[in-house]
Amino acid sequence: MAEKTTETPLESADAQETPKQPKKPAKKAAKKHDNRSPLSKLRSYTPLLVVLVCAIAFVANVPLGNISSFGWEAISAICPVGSLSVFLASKVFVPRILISLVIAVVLILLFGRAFCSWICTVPLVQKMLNIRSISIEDQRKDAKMRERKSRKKNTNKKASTEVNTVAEDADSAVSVALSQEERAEISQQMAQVANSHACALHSPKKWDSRHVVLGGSLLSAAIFGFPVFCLVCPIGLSFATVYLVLRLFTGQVSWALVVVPVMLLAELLIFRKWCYKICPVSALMSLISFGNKTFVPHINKDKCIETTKGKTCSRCNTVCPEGINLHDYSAGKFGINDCIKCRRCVDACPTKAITMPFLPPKDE
Amino acid sequence: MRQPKDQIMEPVASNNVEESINNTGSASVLQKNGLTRRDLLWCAGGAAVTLGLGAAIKAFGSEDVLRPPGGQNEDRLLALCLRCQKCTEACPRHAIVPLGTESGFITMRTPTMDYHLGDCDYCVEENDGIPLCVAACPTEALHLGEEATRNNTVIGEPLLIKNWCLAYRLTRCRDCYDVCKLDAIRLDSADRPHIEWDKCNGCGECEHVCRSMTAGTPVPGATHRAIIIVPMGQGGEM
Ligand code: SF4
Ligand code: SF4
Ligand code: SF4
Ligand code: SF4
Ligand code: SF4
Ligand code: SF4
Repeated sequence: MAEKTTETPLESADAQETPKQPKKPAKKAAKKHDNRSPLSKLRSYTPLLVVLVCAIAFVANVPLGNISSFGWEAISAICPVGSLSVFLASKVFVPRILISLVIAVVLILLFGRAFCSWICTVPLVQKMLNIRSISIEDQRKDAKMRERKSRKKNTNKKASTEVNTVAEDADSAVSVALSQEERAEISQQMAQVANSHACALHSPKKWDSRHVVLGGSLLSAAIFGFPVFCLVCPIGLSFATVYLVLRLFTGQVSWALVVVPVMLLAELLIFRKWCYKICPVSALMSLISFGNKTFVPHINKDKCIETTKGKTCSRCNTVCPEGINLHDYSAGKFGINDCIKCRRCVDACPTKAITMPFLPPKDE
Repeated sequence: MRQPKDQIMEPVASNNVEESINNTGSASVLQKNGLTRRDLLWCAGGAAVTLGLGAAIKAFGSEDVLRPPGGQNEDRLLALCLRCQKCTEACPRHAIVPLGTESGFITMRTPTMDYHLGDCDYCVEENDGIPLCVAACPTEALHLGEEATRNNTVIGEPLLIKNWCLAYRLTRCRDCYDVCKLDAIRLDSADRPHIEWDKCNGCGECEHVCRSMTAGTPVPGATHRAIIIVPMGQGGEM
């Protein structure tokens, strides 16, 4: 296990570039997935599990709902964007909506944006569409592939000239590296790719386009009298698709079976960075998460390579899909309130310095 | 346990360079704490699209549709319905289905009645007359007042097309008459059905059992069953 935990994208990248270095057997790459802790492995199945439970409930006629409003009768966790929208649209005070909103806020205060990596169906659909917006590891793999291809093409191009392009977007990380001497430069780039996907800016924005979409949706709901965003929300659409398919078995066919999935796919394909640029659910959760103090990734300064040896490691930052810098929140693309509790940083840390304790440790 | 240490040291070889990159990076940041031009475009686009979407969907309009008990106030239902489809799940008789695009975009995925799979008995058999769909609705988009009863909660009204009705061909079909629990169908001297308008609540049981156009009894020219429930104001005997 110890051997596997040290396998990170950064390192395997180095391995690719410097075949002469003594290396572990190639098998290791295949085993790479094993370096995740059981909890992280579980995370890749939970969204599917949620869909399955909701589908079974639908077939069995149990009104459990889906993640737009999950629960029983008056007690449910309604999506907070939904409950705010319908409140503003109807201008009616409904006690059970308030209860649901309180439940949602408490859950977010407890778990932050964990919804995004543990429950939400959108990353699932994105994965099926091969949209790599949430996983930086995947982007890095992509980058490496292209790198290898392009290396064959333009063998003489200087790597350093491309650093800027790389910084713009990990997707364009076609930088080329040739020889041993340039190894340093490659690591630079990999670090850049890592940071840059995440941090074109060096301090997290207080608000971004997601928050504007949130505000626009709520305003629109209030003006036009219906929850505008709910009609196009990809989370709702993905469940609607599941339900439509299930209804086929009882012979209920409708044009919606075409319209709903097409809307869902169009949204996610056109806005490939849905989660980072548009999703008002994430915007609202990130705002409430300013008050989240539990399960916050915490670096044990006695174990971290950067703090103990004063050397650069940055792997936690590299793997973070939100570009959060755990050493200095203000240096990441997003602040810690946007942490989706995915545990990638926990798994990536070579010295296991990162934990996600229930309460922040009082040592500092 | 030694191996990890070796590996840890490896990337460290390029430390200094990385550090310097990071430093120059922070120095050359163009935008300090604000949004880039591209971000602002996203913001403007987001605001325009959300507001435009609301206006467009509203302007597109919708047709009248049948609603489950408690959903008769259309404005309230459209405002409060999350399109969660819990009511569909809740109905023990499978009478509620989510709307598709047939009747407008704003009504999409909101609940409507479809009496092909079942009728609405106001949950009398299954839940002592307390509608399960209303209980399940998380936002009270389906909402019944204190004084609501099965009889005064009117979902829709029947449309009886005599030409398509088997009884009007003197076949002595009287299935709808037999099932109607509210005595809203009366038979005339030739055993042909007529509607008692003030008794019907649009429960759909007659539509559910109607023989015309169901398996084995096609009627020339008919596009649907001889008796169907339609939104208020569209019913009648013709
Ligand atoms: S950002 Fe939105 S769409 Fe993406 S995972 Fe989170 S809730 Fe789902
Ligand atoms: S800080 Fe860690 S747990 Fe939070 S989003 Fe980043 S990688 Fe995931
Ligand atoms: S009242 Fe009962 S039978 Fe009627 S639609 Fe609602 S759940 Fe179905
Ligand atoms: S349960 Fe209520 S909110 Fe959900 S779809 Fe039915 S009417 Fe709409
Ligand atoms: S006439 Fe039909 S819809 Fe009306 S109460 Fe009787 S069975 Fe129900
Ligand atoms: S069940 Fe249909 S066909 Fe038979 S009498 Fe009633 S309306 Fe006519």
